[in-house]
Amino acid sequence: MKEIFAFIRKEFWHISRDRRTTLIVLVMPVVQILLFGFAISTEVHNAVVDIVGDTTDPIVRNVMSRIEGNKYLSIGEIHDMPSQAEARLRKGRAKAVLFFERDFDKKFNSDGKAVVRIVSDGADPNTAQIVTGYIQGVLQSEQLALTEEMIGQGRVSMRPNLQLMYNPAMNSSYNFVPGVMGLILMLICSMMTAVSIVREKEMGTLELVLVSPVKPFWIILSKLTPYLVLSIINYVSVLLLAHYVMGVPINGSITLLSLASLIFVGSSLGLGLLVSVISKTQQTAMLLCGMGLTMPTMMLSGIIFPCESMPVALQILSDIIPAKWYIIIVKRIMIQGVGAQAIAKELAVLSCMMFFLLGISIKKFKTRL
Amino acid sequence: MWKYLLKKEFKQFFRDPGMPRMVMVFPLIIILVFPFAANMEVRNIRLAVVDNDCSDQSALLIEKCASSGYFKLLSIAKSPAEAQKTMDRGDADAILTINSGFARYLESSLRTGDPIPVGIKVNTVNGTRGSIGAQYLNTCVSSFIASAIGGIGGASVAGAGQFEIHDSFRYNPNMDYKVFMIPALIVIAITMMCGFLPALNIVSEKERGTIEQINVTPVRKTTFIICKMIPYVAVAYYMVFTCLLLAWLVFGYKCQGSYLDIVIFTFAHILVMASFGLLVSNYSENAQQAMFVIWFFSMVFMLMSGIFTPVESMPKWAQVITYANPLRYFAEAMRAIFLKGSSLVDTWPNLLSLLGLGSITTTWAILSYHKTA
Repeated sequence: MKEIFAFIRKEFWHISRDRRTTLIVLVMPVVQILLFGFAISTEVHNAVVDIVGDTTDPIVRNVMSRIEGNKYLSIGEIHDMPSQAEARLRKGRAKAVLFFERDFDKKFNSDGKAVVRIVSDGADPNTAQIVTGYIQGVLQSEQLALTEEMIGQGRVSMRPNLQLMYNPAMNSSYNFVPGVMGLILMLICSMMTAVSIVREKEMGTLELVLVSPVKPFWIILSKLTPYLVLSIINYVSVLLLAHYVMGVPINGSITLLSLASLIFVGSSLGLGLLVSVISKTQQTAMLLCGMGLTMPTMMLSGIIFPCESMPVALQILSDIIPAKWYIIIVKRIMIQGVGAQAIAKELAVLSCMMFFLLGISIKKFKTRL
Repeated sequence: MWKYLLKKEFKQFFRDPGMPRMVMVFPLIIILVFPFAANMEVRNIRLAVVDNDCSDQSALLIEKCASSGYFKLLSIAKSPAEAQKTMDRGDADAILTINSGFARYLESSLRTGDPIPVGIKVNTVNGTRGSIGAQYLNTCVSSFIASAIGGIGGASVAGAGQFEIHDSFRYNPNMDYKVFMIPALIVIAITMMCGFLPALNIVSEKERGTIEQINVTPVRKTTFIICKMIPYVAVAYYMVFTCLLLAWLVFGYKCQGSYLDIVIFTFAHILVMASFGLLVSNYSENAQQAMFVIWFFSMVFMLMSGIFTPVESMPKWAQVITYANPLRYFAEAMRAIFLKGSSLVDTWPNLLSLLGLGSITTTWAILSYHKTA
């Protein structure tokens, strides 16, 4: 037992000697969660809408003032020529252009029909769809107001009663902050451990470790201990920021969340360890973690792009990324506030990953050089 | 002297068998795998149904929702509590509740004022998915009721005039998310390659001790740094054109603008990224530090560039930060050139900003490299 404590102490010394790296590891997640927690959002604010049409026309004026009053939209420029609006779209200055036909008001009142065209910048399909939806809403409410004015009574509402669950204010942060938590924790944990063993291999000190009577299992465990401590500090700071600064609620049990985080951190450390055991040089280990893990985690774990929209093959591929399961758990516990029963499957998957990754690293760890 | 230094850099690059292999494989993954994942389209909304009416009409409504193509119908729940449970477990995204009296509501002619006996509950943890799901369901239910009621509601509206709303999506009429993401993914690929590799470059020469041998030669700092950057320019061009070729072969997407513009922008971007990587390398004590720092910055560059989520959605202070983000300018320009066929006339502010950033980082990288320890 004494040997093991000596080993753990040695590993802590390794870390405390390189103060700058430790500082980087502790400060990085704080800055990232602050930046990304606020910046990653798909909400559309003040999308610029240009108008092509006659601004003296009463209906056009009404629609314009409705757009000004809409918190998601704002009026950009008013053009006489369609080509000017076209140029603004191409430069990305306007998100959409509204073309009113000539004599809009007169046609509406006499012919009972007037044409208005919405042309949006489809280069970004998601934003274009949302902006078009808002503009349609504005036009429909204007039309409804005109109709009611004419008929003099409210139309039958055929809208079913709608209830928004868990996130009625539609905060974008509720969706993205758990994702960012998973991304940051997983990558920092695995990048920390990725060099741990391969560095000793490169420096030649691993040989000294191997000739000691301590079993590989304990060598690896003592290697992990200081990183586990750092990861727990990171988890706490990220959680505190998410709750108090980003305003993400913690509706479920915090003990359960911490347990899940511990398992997740364990599996991420295991992933880094595995990389460290199989790599020959520090550079390979770091490129594997830094580049090889970042992109798949960002793209496939449902942080920005929902897993449900992916083709089946990619959904299966995304199942092997620990962050995917952790993000599901965090959303359920923090926002939906459900109990252990609802996350049992995800937790089981994460635990299996942790044992598998740690087990295989220990098994692959060669005691002979 | 330039010739020998360049030869050394290229040799160093190709000696490690991992590097060229990575450069070969990366574009393949970027174009063949990630575009399929990068999709914000809302599909396969899992719908749980509570049918308290159990009439022919309610069955028809369920049938209509199921056949609309947006929903994946789960089994019909017996009670509202059971449906709620499936939502808590995360198995259902939306719940459609049809209350008793639905069939009667459709038959009776007195409807004004009565709320319709249909309820919708959506999971809005993901706000976009929730609101679009609600929109789809709303439309399904409203149009079902409108057609069931028949002309009564419709006739009164027709007399009062209507806006005829046409909508169209310029540059991407089919709302294809892949074509939107491909130029941005190319940008990411170049950024990672040409940020990470230079960041490890000088620091690993420091760790290995080979930097000493350069320091005792009469090679000037500027020459040294510039020769370090040139291989990455070559790597970047290789990657850009492989990706563009693959995008054309696999998806049939062609660049709408001129390739020369892409060449110019890529050069300006590499100037920033490669010199930034070397800058990080200069300041780092060991490879792990360099790795963490470049990883940190490339994450910030990527996630705050407008590639995944629009810059306009960020709070004001975050938008200010993006002005120092090379990826923002490059991604915006690449998308404009690739999708809209923009030329330098439209995108020159981006080019100027990139070149400005590039000259700062290059000068800084040269100045911060010291030949004496």
